[in-house]
Formats: sequence, structure tokens, C-alpha cells
Amino acid sequence: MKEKDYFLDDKPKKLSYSEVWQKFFDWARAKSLWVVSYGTGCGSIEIPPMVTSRFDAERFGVSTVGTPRQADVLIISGYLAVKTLKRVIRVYEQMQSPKYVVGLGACTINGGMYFDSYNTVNLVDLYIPIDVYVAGCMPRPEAILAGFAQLMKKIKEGRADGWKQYIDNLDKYRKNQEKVIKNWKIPNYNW
Amino acid sequence: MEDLIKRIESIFKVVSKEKGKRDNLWILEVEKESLHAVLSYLKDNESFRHLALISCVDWIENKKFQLSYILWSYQKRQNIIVKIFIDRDKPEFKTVLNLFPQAEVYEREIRELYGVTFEGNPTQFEEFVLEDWEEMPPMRRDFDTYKYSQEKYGDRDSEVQRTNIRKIISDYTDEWRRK
Amino acid sequence: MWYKILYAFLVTVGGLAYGLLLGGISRKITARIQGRKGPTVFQNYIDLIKLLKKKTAISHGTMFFLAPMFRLLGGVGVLLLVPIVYKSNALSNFSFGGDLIVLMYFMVFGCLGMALGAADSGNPHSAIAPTRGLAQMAGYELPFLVSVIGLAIAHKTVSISSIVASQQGGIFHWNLFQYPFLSIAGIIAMLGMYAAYPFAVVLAPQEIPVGPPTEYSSTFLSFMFTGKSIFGVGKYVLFMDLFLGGATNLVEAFIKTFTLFLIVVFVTNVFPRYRTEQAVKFFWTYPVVIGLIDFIRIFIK
Repeated sequence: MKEKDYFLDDKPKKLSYSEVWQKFFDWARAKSLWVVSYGTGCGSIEIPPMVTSRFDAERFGVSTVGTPRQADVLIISGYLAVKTLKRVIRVYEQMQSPKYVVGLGACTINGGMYFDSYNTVNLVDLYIPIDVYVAGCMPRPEAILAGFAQLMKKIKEGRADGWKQYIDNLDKYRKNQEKVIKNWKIPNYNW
Repeated sequence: MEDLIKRIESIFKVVSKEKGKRDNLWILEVEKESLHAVLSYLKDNESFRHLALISCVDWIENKKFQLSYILWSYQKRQNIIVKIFIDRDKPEFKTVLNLFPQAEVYEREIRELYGVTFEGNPTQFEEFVLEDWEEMPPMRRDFDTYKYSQEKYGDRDSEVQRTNIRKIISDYTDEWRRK
Repeated sequence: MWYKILYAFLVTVGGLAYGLLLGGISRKITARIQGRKGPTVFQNYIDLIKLLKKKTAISHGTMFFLAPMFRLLGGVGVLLLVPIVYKSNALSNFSFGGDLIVLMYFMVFGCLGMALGAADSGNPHSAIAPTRGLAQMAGYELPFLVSVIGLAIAHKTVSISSIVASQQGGIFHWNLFQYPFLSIAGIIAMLGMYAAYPFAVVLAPQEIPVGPPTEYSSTFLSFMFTGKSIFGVGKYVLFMDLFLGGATNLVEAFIKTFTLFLIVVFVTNVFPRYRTEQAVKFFWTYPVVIGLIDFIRIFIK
């Protein structure tokens, strides 16, 4: 045993009152994530095995709800066609903050298998802020659960602020979205 | 199935015929003016009552579009493909909606993706898959889809993106086939 | 007098905590029956805390805001009117002579408020579930009324405390054994009230997104959660008082309500679902006939 194991070199930290409160709520948010049941692409075939008996996701507090009004997490599973992107933006804006987005598969990262397709989007990050990417084509349910564990870790540390970035840089996101989508009929934010 | 082909040859002018990769598949090429007659003969007299698909191929070197009509017979369990060639610079044809009602949707798809207009099809100018598409019909071979995707959707500047994956894969399979 | 308010507050908070715990236990039992590990038993607490801190930015009219309040008030009213522990100063709440009738009014009140609120939101899906729920309520109210009125006539009183008093003195004085058919009718009506599985068409999570609370989110949803939990505990205590002999101390109250809760959970996990008209038809034939057998017995006596 080295002598270094007995002593700690870091200085003591102090947390203010609001930080403690914030940590408590972040812990609660991480422990009960509600997912919108919206299968955007080919990865949505991995979501039912994740939620049912074999790879049980409910033991982590993750469960599916039927409406985006009550959900925390949106899963973008696979490629995003331009048609789907418009609907995904509307669903994302209907969710109440704080909200998180998980991107599954290689197609959300840089276009994946459809990198040269005229209809699918290459970088989803330009249009919607994504917190966690899960690599794979499609990732297995165990890999998606590992992605959720990473998301929970990020929420507990307070770093999962995609929704704040969306609010701050709304003009930039809107400019990117309008470049791709022609018929823009969304009135205002969070209707 | 060869006697069926002989019967068709005795009535219509068949430009070329070819046996497919399995025993119950034959591919016939006819003139485009006699397509409706061939199809209605096959449907009424030879029990090929099911139109499975209408498919289109872009022969850019010969400046022609090829339309293939795939028919299936439930009674004899046989496939027959009837193909015609139409002009690429003025792609127009008549619809087969009067014979097979599902041709309406197939022709709508071909109109959107290749630009072939079918005379007599009432819903062909509705959108099929793409929303608000204003460029060239995207499945034609002179539409550079990689360039379009790069300009419109961007990419990450990385080593993987800069290599041309499809060229590498197609070179490899060409070499493998040559062996 | 002021300490009665303090006790009422403590009973409300305790009822909420107990109700949320029962919800967590129900999820855990359901998960184990399905062969998987479920969430922790404290999962409903965490859900509630998370819901409190979500921002809400939608408004759909006055009734939309008031409906969760109605649900909460219905729940709190039911919990505060039943005597939890017989002959106790602290836990008899506001029970008085004649509280059985007021209680039956309060129970309808909660559901009605929810129906009005859901009808006022902009979402067409949230109007389907209240119509089904109200139709089903017309179903289960009938056996419930048969059993309650039968008990009222048998014990010649309309106050719950007197019904509890006449059940003291040993296990065979309970209404469960003295008037067994009325109890069966009452317990089947209880299954309808909790939307347990043969009669779960109100929630129908595969058909309509989650039922009445479709358009609600964040703080409203947390009100509904609390209302649902408190209402649940109130109903368990009521049925314990009516059929299982009341409780003379707190431990007995916990054990008896837990038994009723286990009946509901085990029935929920085993059955498939009836449609609304089948459920109403079921409620109006079998439990009513069973309850009327005891009616005849009471009248002959």
C-alpha cells in the first residue's frame, strides 16, 4: 500500500444552495426518463426489445409514453429523410423542457450508409441538438441501454443542455432548417 | 413454358426473348406499340392476371428508357416480363390503367423518379415520396447525387468522408468478378 | 380544534406517500410476473419529483387548469372523510354521521372533473377516454350502490363509524363473513373503480395515448398523479371500513389495505380487457344479482 492512498490532494469544495437543489432535481430527472414512442427510421425495430422482458429498460426508470407533451427523451433511430425531419422538428418543439435527444446509428453521425443520398440528411446536429450518439447500424438493445447510461451520467453532471442551446441559437437552427425544408409552416416555438 | 412463348411469337412480333435464371421466368421484348395488345392477351387468354411491378431502367448510352412489366400467373405459377424501350429525350407513354388498376401507383412512382409521363393516368402528378422536389428526377443516371448531398446537407470534414467509398467497393467487386 | 387541521394535513401527506409506494409495489409485482426485474419501489416518487420541475407553456382555457384541481380535491375529500382508525382522535378526520352519502358524491366528483378538463383541451384523443370512463362508471356504480345501500339497511345507519362499530368483536363479525354476497358485489365494483384489468378500457394505453391525461404535462400531470394516489388510498380505506371491519390501530389499517391492494394487483395482471359495452353489461348482471341475494336475506330478517 502506498502512502498516497491514505491522503487526498484536492481542496474541499462548497456548493451553494441552489446548486444542491439543482443536483437533486438532475438526479430525479436521470432516474425517470420518459421516451416518446415515435419510430423515425429503421432503428425503431430495436426499441420494442429494449422495453420488453428480455432487455428490461423499465428497471432504469425508462418507459414509453404516447404523447410528446409528457416525454423527456426523443430517440432518432436511423436515417432522417427530409420529410421526417419536418415532423421530428415539430415533435421536438412540442416536448416540454428539459428535453434530451438520443441519436442511434451511423446515419445520424455523418450520413452512414446513405451519405450520398439526395433525400436523407447527413448531419442531424445542424437541425436539432443531440446529446448522445450511439454507434452501430443498428445498435443492439444492450448498446442502446449503455447509451442511456451515458445520458444519465451526463444529466447528473449537468452537462446535458441541448435544449438550452436550442433556445440560445434558435436563429442558426432555423436558418439550417429552412435551407433544407421548403414549405415551412411552423408558426412559433413551443406551440 | 416454351410453348407459351411459341404461341406469343406466332401472334405478335417479338424482338428478343431470353430465359431467366429460374425455370418459370421468361423475358420478352416487344415493340412499344403492341404492348397493350400483348398484355391484354396474356391477361385474358393465358391467365397472367396479376401485375406485380412496373420497373424502369435508364440506358443513357443508347438514349432510351426501358419499361418492364412483370406479370404473374396464379394458376400456372409462372412469371413473365414484357419490356419495351421508349425514347429518353421525350419520355411519354400510354397508361395500362384500364387493364390493371394498380398501375396507377406504379406509374406515379416512375413519373416522380424518372420523369416518364403516362397519358391517361389521372393522379400521376401528385407527390409520391419526395416533398417539394424541384430538381431533375433523381433516379436518372446523369443526376449527381453525391454532389447534391454534399452541397445541400454538408458533411463533417474527416478522413472517411473524403475517400470515395462507392468507387472503392465497385472497383473491388469488378476485380473479384473478373477472376 | 386547530390540531384537527394539523392531523388532516398529516393524513393527506401520509396518504400521498403510502399511495405512491403502493403504485411502485404494483409495478414491481407486475414486472416480476412478466419475468423481468422492475423499477424500484420508489419509482413513483422520482417520477413525481421530475414532473414538478418541467416547464409548462401551454394553455387551453379555464377548465383545463381546474380539472386537475378537481381530481385532487376529490381524492383529498375521500381520504379525509373516512375514519382510518376507529375511535382515534388523530385519525378519524372529519367523519360524521351521514358521511356515507357524501362520500359517494365525492367519488363521482373526481372523475367528472377529469372528464370536463380533458374535453376542454385541444387534443381529440383526450376526449375519447373520459367518455369511456364515464360510461364505465355508470356500470360499476350500480353494484357499488347495491352493496352500500344493503349495508346501510342491514346496520340501520348511514355513518361509517357506526358500521365499523358493529363489526367489532372478532373476525366473524366482519361484513365479509356476515354478508358475503354484498362484499363480493362491492369488491367487484372496487375493481371497476381502480380500472383494473378486465375493466381497464379507460386507460387503454395501446389505443389512446395514456387516456385522460393526454394533453397534460409537468405540473398538471403531477397534480393528477397525486390525486390518483390519494384517491386510491382513500378508496382502500373506505372498503376496509365497509367490509373488513375497520382498524383499531395503524398497523392493522396498513395490513388490511395492503390485502385489498394485493387483490387488485393480482386480478389486474391476469385478465385481458373488456370493451366498454361488455364491461357495463357484466356490471349490471352478475354482481347486482349476487348482491340482491343478500338483500332478500336482509328483508326476510
